[in-house]
Amino acid sequence: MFIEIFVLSVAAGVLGALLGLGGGIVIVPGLTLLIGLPIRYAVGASIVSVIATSSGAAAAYVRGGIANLRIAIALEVATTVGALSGAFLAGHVSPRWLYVVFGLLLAYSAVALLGRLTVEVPGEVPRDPLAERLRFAGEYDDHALGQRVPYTATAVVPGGVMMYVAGLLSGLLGIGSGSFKVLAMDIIMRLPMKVSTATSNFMIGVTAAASAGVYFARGDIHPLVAAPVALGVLAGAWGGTHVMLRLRNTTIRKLFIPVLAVTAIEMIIRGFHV
Amino acid sequence: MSRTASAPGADAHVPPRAELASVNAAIGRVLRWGVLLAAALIVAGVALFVAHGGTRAILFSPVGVPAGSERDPHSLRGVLDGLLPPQPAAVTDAGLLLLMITPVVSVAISVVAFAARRDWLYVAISGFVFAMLMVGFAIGRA
Repeated sequence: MFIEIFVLSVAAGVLGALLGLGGGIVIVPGLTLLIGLPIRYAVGASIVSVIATSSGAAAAYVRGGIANLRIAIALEVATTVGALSGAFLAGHVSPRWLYVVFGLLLAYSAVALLGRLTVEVPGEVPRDPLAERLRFAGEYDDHALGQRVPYTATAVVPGGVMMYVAGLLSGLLGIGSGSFKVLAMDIIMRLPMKVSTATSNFMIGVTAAASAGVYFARGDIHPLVAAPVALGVLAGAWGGTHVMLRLRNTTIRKLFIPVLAVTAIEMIIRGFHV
Repeated sequence: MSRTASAPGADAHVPPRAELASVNAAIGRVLRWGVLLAAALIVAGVALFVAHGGTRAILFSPVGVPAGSERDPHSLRGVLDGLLPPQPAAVTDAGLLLLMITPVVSVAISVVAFAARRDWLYVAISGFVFAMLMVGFAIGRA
């Protein structure tokens, strides 16, 4: 059991570090369907997985200057306010429809991303005075391209709205919503894919930490389930950061689209089973 | 003047990377040490499980999971009480809790790091995020 959970978690950590996700998409079905654990412990473990991926990967991405701290912190304003609104709304809205609606939104995004498959770096983007005011511009060393890539953000307000929705979903459904964060930064704010996934990696831990205490107090975080998850995810995330730096933005996006499609299907299925 | 993506921040006196290097380094250190210490505690906790109950203690079947979970500490006080003398579940939980607060600590440190740079706009932004996290904890405890 310990070994199986550990191996599954290494895979979740690698995927999470590459794509800016928390690994819940691997952990929850893996622990319930493959290993046969009760959903309660699987969800508790997935919160641990989100935080472990985030801190493990972000430690490398922040020091390497790939994650943009200003963008992360400023957008956290939207996600934390969203998470709190979600906590207040929980119990007043039916999770069933939320899962279906947002599953469909993710499915649509996966299709929309197909049109951006060949975009390696965003190039020139429309000027956004708010992005300038918040000093969102940055540059990063792209090991795959062998050059420094300067970038700036556009459409900060629509991106912030999407981040608020991501936070709302975390608060309501207890999901990490890393995929929504990556989409907000890649499609709406037009940041380079690597900057989007690395920045999302830093952000998801902060969002998840806000609700982790509740799961712990409820006893959903079982030490013998969460321990191999935490250790496996940390090891996987650490390895994943080394791989990610060498990949092209287009390769990461190619990996992201099928994962997005699977997440969309998982959410829609969960909507019909809640 | 139209600004192109090829020259963002060209009007700044310092390149973006050097500008944020000190904040990046501070946050990077918090994350790395938080993760390493948490992992060390979790490994120690698992080792204690094995020391107390043999490898069978961790190689349980899915059906056996709930067994013993009633004795797991679910509160900070419960965890701290279980550290001396070290109980396997309490030590593992201490590592998991340390992992959970690491992102929160990184936000707190970013408030300090931005203040050290006299970047008041971002002191306000990161301070707001930290306050929201505290409100979230307060609601969670209620």
